[in-house]
Amino acid sequence: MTMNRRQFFKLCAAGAATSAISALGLMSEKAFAAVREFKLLRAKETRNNCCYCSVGCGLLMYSHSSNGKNAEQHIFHIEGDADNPINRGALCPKGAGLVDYVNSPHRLKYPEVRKPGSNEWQRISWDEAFKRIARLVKDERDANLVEKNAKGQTVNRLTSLGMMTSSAQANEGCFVTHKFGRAIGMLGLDNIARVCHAPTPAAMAPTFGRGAMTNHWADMKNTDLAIVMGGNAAEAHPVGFGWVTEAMEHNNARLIVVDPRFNRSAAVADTYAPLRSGTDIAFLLGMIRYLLEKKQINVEYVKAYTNAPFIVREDFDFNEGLFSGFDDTTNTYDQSSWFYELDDDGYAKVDPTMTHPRCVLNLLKKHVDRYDPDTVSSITGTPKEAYLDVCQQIGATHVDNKAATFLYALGWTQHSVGAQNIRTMAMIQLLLGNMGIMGGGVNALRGHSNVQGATDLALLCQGLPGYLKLPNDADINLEAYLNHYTPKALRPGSTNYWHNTPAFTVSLLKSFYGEHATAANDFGYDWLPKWDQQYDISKQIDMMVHGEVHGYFIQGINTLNSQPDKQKVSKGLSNLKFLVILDALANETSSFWRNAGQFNDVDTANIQTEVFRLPTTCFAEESGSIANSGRWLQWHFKGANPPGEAMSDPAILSGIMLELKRLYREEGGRLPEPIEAIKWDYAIEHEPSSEEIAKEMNGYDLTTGKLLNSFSELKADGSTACGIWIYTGQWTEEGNMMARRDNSDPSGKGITPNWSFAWPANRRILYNRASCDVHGKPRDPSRVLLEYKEGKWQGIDVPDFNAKLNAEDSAHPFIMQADGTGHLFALRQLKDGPFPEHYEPFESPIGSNPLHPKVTNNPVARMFQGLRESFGTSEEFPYVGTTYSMTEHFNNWTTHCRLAAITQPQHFIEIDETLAAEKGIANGDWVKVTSKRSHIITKAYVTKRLQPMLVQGKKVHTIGIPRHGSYEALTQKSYIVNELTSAVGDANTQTPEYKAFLVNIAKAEGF
Amino acid sequence: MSNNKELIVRHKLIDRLCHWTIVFVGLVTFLTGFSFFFPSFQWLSGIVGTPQLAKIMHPFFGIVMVALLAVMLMRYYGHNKWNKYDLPWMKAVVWVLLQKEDNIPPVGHYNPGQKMLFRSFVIFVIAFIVTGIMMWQPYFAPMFAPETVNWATLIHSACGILMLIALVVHVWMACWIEGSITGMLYGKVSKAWARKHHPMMLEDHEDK
Amino acid sequence: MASQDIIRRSGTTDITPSAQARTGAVKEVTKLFDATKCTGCKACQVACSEWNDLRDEVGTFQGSYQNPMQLSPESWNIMQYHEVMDDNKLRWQFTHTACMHCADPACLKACSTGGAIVQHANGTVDFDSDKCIGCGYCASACPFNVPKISKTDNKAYKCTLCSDRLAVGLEPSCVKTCTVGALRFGTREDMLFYAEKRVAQLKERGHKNAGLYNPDGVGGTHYMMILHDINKPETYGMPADPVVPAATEIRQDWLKPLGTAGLLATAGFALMHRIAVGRNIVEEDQPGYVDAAAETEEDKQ
Repeated sequence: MTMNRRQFFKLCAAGAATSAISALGLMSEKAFAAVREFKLLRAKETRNNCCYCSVGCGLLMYSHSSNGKNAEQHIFHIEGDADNPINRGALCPKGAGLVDYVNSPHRLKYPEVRKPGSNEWQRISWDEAFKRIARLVKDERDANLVEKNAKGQTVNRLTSLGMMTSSAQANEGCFVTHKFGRAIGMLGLDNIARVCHAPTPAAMAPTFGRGAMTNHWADMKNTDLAIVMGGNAAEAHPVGFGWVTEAMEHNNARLIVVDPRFNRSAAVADTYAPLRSGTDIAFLLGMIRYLLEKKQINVEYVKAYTNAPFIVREDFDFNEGLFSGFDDTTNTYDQSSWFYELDDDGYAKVDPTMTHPRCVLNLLKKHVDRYDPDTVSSITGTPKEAYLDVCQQIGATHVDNKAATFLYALGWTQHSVGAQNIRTMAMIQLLLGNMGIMGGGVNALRGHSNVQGATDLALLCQGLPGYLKLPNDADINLEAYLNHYTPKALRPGSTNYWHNTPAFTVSLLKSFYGEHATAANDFGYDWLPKWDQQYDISKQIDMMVHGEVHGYFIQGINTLNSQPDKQKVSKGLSNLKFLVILDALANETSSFWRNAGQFNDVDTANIQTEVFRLPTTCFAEESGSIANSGRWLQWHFKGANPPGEAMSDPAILSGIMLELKRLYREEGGRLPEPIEAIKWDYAIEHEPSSEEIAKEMNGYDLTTGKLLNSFSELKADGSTACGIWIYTGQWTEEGNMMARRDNSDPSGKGITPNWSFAWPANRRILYNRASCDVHGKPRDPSRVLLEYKEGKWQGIDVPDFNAKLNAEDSAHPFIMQADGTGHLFALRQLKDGPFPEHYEPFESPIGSNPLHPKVTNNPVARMFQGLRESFGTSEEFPYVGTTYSMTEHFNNWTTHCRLAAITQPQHFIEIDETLAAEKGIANGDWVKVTSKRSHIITKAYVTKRLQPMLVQGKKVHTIGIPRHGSYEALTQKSYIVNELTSAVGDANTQTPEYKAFLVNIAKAEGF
Repeated sequence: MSNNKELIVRHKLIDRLCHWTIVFVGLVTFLTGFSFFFPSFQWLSGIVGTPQLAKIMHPFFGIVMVALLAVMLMRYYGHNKWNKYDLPWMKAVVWVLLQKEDNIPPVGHYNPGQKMLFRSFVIFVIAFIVTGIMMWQPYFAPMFAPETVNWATLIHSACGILMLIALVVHVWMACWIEGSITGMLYGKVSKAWARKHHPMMLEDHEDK
Repeated sequence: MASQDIIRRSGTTDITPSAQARTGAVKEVTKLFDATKCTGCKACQVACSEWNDLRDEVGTFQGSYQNPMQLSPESWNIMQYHEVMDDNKLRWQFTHTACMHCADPACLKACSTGGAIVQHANGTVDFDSDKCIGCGYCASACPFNVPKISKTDNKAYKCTLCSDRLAVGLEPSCVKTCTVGALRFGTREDMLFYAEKRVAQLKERGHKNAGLYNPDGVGGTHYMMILHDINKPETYGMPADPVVPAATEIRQDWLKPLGTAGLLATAGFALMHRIAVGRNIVEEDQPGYVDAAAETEEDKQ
């Protein structure tokens, strides 16, 4: 018998113990150690989707009771739905703690009002709330509705009443909200997307034709190279990022992270390169220069599928930081020269050899020539070797059998050049031939769970559902409007899908106004409010400050915390006559009038705003669909009743709208027609069900009364009604397509065609025609999406083109573009140029633009009165401040959830060790961070993960500022971070420049 | 009445009260402690109700036991000084056990065996209080490194076992030397008893 | 009848083992943490508290992303964050910190109470709170510093590997929720097989010292870790060479038998001595005793 040392000791020990115990004659006690009882036995299971970010994770919610009539359900546990092909059971820390949101002690239960000057809430009934609010709205509308502009054009707009809308409510709520706002005549109907991903559609639509993420979450597993830049996917979209680690493990993919901070994404990256916040365009234009110089572009792809060979007008020019057509009195461009040279048929001229000096490719070459590696390195602060390494790795994916994907989020959007940041990367993806393929694409990682849906449904001041444009003053009637927005094909044979604009528009008007919309009255076109300028939230707040907005609705957003320049927001809200809050949680915005000492030092008695606080349901308490970042419309189900008297958003808005309708019916008033005409024919009028709204959005054939199957069935003659054309097919006669739960993935490539419904037309990968060459042969045999074989198209995805066409005739993959190509040259669709250009942030640590000192910042950024004076200089505020989210929290929302509060209990900022040493700041010390606007006092985290960067020979320090500061939550009381930020925004969308501003820092006394 | 039956004071009232309080408190401490050391004897902890209560009570009883013991040890310190008579007695300890009294050299108030017991108690008292506090959950233990607490636990239990053995000897002797227990109960022993077991104590007594 | 799959319980003897007969087909299970994949998101930490209905105190910032800083009776797993310089390059290392479910659990060995700590046939080590008396022996014996005693109820708590979920065939809550697949769960055999492959892949991807942390000193663990650098477990907050501590071994394997023997020997000796030597009485004090000498004196008088 052999025995090792260990066994020997064991035996000895056992022997010793045994002898001792037998000597004492011990008997072992009977032990009935049972495991804890499984707590979900017979609990009711309800399927839902997470309400936080846009990954769209599936949830299983468990509630007590049998669904019997005598029991009130209570959700006590939520975990991931393993059937859901996106998250496969996983949930991030916020999602894993959802039950503490549903059951947060800060959930609102009753409608309340705060009277002008009062310091307390007063409980009221719903009936009182509806009556009072409807009265205020009607009085405001009757007093300030503008029916005609100065030129006598019908505009029917109400700009003194606005609404900030939620992107966490279901699509059905969004649609009702849109109808509510437009019927009243609101132009200031805006959404959280404004401070979030608004630049994404503004950049992507001009480039590819649509504004959405081109691929989807599970598809990331097919990539060879993932680049996280302008975002922090591991931190902000943890479960989605799981598909990147999946690719790294199972596809041997590499991961590159470029960011000012060594963040959680960088922690698992193969390559990390630092970069100064606000210099992404220089980095990426330099990369384009590298790709062109090293011939690392996919020539065949570029020639066939982009506008590289197109010839640009002779009068187009770029000089000293300005494109042709700049008007320095208005700070705008006359964009007429930013276009192709057209032939006699109105088609664009093309040079297939790409040798013409004015073809797009050569103009681009010339444009990026200034961005040599040394210049780039000295602007961005990225060490040259690291920069070239990144260029080399990305360039290597230009071949047909390699795919790279970019994952970005607010790190790109929240700049004064937000849209152009995204544009530059989109151009790189076109040059590399990475669009339209599995594992490639541009993955805009959206923020809120339904910010994609809210954007689709145009809860934005200049849109109508389905990316139709809201008319402006010049669009005097339907005909003028349709002429304006129905593009003509720019190449022969181009699909130019927007030629269907009339069908989409008329069907929308039919959906809005029902039988009141007739050919005779232009289908009610006149009732839509027409805009004269952009009434986004920043504009609305500026108007509040100047007394031009009197009433405001805020739905599911903590505006005081989320908008830049908190002092200004507070001033604006204090100037309102009334404010209506629809929210599930008691947040700082609803109590902006309450003095909270240093955190909110206001004079309550002098704030004359009447504030209504109306409790809403949360995701778990309503059914409906939300659109995730990958455009999947996933249906979720109600798991329990809301607390107290809380109601859903559609029910609350219905309550107000029905009261308004009654008032106009009984009293008359200014322009009562849209209020009377707006279709509100729900089975239970005051409580529209998600199911009927979803069908309304899908659209009906009005002659047969049947639900439509596809947007191709829409007509311009008023015989179809459709709330949002891109969603058509979501609920057909066959049932609710969004609730489909067949997660089979026959190809193994992450395409699950029978799981939920992806807009448009259940296409999972946009522009998938580009996965094949001109002749319909897959460019990479290992990632076949579609193939033209035996005279027809076949494959695993729904073709994103007219599949009736043969290979050659369909070889223009970007069907939403009038020329069918991907745009390296963006034509007239962006306000700040057809090519991107590096402009310094408005608060720049180096003060001037090394490329063109006369044009330091984005020349067409909007400047409110007094805004320029609120900018600090690098002398006074030498450090770059940048705000961001952390994994543990979702904005100022999870700070009300105990589980999240435990994991990240207190606000702090991050600084590098060098700066900390200079300032005598030790890890954990209290510090005061100051900007030109205001200051915050918080704790300092001194970390190796931030390093000073060498910019133009100067050491630049970054101060990282997480944005989860709340003073009325479960976390430790903290200043609101947006005390520091500036309201200057992206020139195209006015998304604030949260990511790059100037601050100073000093050691401080704590509180 | 025979003057041989004359009684003399061996233990003052305060000491007797102290001793029997320690017996009671120590019984609880030792039974509960024993139940922790030998899990199969956990039923012994039933004397205070449940094992959980035993865990809570043990340190408090222990503190009382140790404190009173310390008082007693201090009060009896004088009787327990080592002196010149002790060594010869030690050498003759076998005769003590065999009750061959003629061969036993005289000793005073306490014999060297008792003095050794005294010394061991001093050590136990110190060890118990130090290690006991270190391992006291949930109050003090978290202040020390787990390894330290673990060693404290070992020392504590080793002392417990050793003291138990010492107590067995103590009880064995008390029972064997008849008159001891009544001496500790009522405080007095007869002169004869004293002459037999602690002759020099009688001398001390008579000197006074 | 849940005791059927318990193979070892604290405070009992091998003479009376737990039911073993029907454990023949029960596979040992293992949780595997891949530190090279982890992004430190804390989903595991939250999911654990959520499933187990734990709510720790809301603390304060402690100079790290880490919070709470220690395992506690209300925090059974926490993420540790370590900024480590390796070859002049920064590595931000995350450690999913929870019970290791040792094959030779020091806690079970040290436990004062019969059946308060048990080992299931699948290898998991579980505490039975009803039995626990809060002595803290497990807390001081654990080489990983895992069990913590609650100030509220005087009981020891730690990760159960979600024994309640395992019992109905589910994976632990932390594993299910892991966003990036850094936590995996399966039979020990499968996890060892997977780990070997993954370590080889990591070596190919440039992590030359990648390896599996499955320390022998405690007989291997049912929670194993893949580390970037297996030579430096301390940089992850893990002990380099954890063992069942000597103090525990001495107390249980040596002090107990020797102490028992000593006690029995002393008591036995005392008994035999009493029998052999008989009573030790002061004859003069016995009732009816006649003191010859005294009588003589009386007579003289």
